[in-house]
Amino acid sequence: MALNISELVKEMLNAAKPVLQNFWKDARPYAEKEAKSFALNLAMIEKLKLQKKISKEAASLHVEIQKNSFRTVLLTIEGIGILSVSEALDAAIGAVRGPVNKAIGWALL
Amino acid sequence: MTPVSKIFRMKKSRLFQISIFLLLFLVSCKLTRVGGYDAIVDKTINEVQQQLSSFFVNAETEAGTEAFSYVHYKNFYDGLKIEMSTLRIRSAAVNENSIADQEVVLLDENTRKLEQLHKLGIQNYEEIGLLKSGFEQQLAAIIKLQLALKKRVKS
Repeated sequence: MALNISELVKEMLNAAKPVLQNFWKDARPYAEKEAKSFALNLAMIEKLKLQKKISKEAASLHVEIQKNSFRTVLLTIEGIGILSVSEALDAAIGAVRGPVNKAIGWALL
Repeated sequence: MTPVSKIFRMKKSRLFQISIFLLLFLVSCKLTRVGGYDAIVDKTINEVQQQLSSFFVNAETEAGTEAFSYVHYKNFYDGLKIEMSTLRIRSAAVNENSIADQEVVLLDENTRKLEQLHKLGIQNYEEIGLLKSGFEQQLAAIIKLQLALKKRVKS
């Protein structure tokens, strides 16, 4: 039995789409909130410097801590993004597993 | 169906199969980059989070007083170093250089910088607020990824 490529692609995309949409829906507000928090903290360090409440060495350590924290946030977004793509792929493969394996004759997917 | 279109259809089908396997291979490489779930890493992260939360509760009431000087917190930092060392070793053993492991390395760097700052003398309440916000942001991000890894194991 020949596979209908366009039909398979349509089924796979339909299965993957909700997963990826949820990822973007969840990731965007989180990224925005954390970027705002990072910026506010940098502004606070500047304010403490202007008020002479903080030394250059202490300010540098504070900035490094904030940078590491924001880097961690970005790594989490990247990690969850990869996991979501994998989840979407699992859904897409799951949607066409039956017909593809039947057409090939071996349970490959 | 002519023999040519038969071959073309077969080629299209073969191309589809190859694409699927290539896609699966690429995704599995990417998944390795994220790292796998490990219950001990997860548990130790939560313990570090609790230690830091207690530290910030004390810091908020003691900031600017003699009670908050570094000498009174030496035991806290020694305990934190032991916990972070356990976490780094376990994380590297399970997921070296993965995203999850890089996050542990960044947390370790931040705990060392916190100690350096405390040695310099944390003078005011605003600095505590900055540190608390930075660590909360970082720990929340780490726990978020751990939860996603755990969810993947369960599903």
